[in-house]
Amino acid sequence: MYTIKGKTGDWELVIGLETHIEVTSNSKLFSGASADYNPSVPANTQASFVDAAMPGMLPVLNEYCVEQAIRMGLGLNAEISKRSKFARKQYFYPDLPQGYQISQPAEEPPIVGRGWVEITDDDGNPKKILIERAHLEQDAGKLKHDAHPTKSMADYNRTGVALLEIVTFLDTKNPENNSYITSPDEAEKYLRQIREIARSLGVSNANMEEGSMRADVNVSVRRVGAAEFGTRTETKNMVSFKFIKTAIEYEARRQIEIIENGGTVSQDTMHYNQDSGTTTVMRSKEDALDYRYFPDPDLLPLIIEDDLIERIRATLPELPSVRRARYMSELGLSEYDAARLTESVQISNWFESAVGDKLVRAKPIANWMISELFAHPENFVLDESIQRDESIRIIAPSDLAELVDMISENEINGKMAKDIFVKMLDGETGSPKQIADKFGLKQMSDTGAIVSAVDDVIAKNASQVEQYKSGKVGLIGFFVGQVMKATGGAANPEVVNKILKEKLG
Amino acid sequence: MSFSKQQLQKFAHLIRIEISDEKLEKMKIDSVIEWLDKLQKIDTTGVEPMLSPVQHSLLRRTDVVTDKNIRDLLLKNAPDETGKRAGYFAVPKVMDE
Repeated sequence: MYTIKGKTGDWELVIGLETHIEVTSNSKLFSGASADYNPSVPANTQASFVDAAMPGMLPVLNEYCVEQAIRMGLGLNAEISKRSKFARKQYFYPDLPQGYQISQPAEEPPIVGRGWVEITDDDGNPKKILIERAHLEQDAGKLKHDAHPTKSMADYNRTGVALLEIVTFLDTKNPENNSYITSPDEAEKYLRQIREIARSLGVSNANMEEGSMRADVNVSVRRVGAAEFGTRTETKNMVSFKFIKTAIEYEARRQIEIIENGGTVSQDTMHYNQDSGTTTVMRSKEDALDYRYFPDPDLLPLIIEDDLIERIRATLPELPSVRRARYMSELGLSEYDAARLTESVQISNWFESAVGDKLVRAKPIANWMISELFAHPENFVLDESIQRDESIRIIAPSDLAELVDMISENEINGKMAKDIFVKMLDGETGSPKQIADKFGLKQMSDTGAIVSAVDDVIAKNASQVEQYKSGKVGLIGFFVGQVMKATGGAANPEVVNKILKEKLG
Repeated sequence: MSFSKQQLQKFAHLIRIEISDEKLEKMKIDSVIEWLDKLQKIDTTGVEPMLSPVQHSLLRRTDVVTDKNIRDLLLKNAPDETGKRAGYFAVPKVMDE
């Protein structure tokens, strides 16, 4: 367990995360403006009258965003609410022209209810992190503060884009379940898990650098083994794994110091300073914002039919975590290989397409992909929709499958396979079999020819034979090498080995 | 229930309304609160709160971009010319959050 040593003893951490992911959709949550707000789009060209909150404009819910929320909910093993509501969360800030954010009320079930994700804890054991809820809400716009000495410039392209806020659950009634995050590393693993699920389901790019994933971090501390939870603080708007880990540790140490010096932690909102890696109070508890949630009179309750949930469930792809487990148990891959081959859905699909129904191919295909193909991304098309240079010879799953089969059927040896692979990289068209024919790459399994080559090598190297017989068995490699050389690399090394051992006794 | 002048001013601030104490007094907020108190006393156990008298289901739209670039129209009412020329709504400088 992760603990921090204080002056008066050891302390443990209790961490809660509110993760915002930007929902992938064409248009915004409540308007028909484009949801593509990337920085190259000129300011305010993708804002509608609804987004700018012009009087009389009414929000109309984007059904695809609802489906995306359900999809993510299913990926989080969560209950989907059949009935949820939208509420106005009031705050006044120029990035939000409405004067309120349409969100889902904090006290009522949002679209996604209780769920969980699994991570590995700091001791390497599987650990379930409970999720309390996930709700749909509007993103705010962007403000530019550096363009003018006395003014801030508001850009509403991002205003109204759908966000899904995923909140972890602190099960205070069953603390013994240990179902919450207790260390900076676990926080990172949890966020990576959320990101992986969101990406593999196509719900969000969940990219912290691009701002499509952000997190608010709640931290409290208590003495190791204490029954009560401590008072938490919230550090807002964290945009990198590294910052999150630094902020958690700094904040925990700050709280421990306060308590050990006889003080009490105040439930404040903190600001993280990226340059110094420290947190400072942004808003004290007394100044906490009063959001005055109330049901949005422009929007009726959101009713979700079982039909829709089941339809989405039926189209859900296998999640990477499930795939990883299957690759290890069914295909016998190592944990490392399984992880590499589930880095993206495209990689997994490529791999499975190459393996096909011949499960014995799995291990060699995994080896080839990880040690060779990953080094040549240009020859390795994962996404057909991406434009590519037509002159490059693309290595397809079927090419690798054929190559691997040729080795297992003793048509070629490993060295020849590598030659064929390099020829493909160099632009040689045709299947591996055709390339092998063209260049005369064929393994010699004709025992007679190998036997005579072996005899020849033994005859020519009398002194080495002597040494071998007197116990220097390591010399076998030398003999194999000589035979391979004599046969122009065409002999089957296994057969050579076998014959040599027979002859040398 | 009744509220102090200070509390009422705080509520006014929350909804960004500026109101003089004098005017606040004239408004007789207490009588409104009294009436709300009466409503609060009604037993609503088991009654689902009604969000709207309308019996429709929530309208939804398909995920299609229907609004194109209307920046010039949007900015037509923007009061600040400097911002407008750059394609922005300019507001007094804000730095918190």
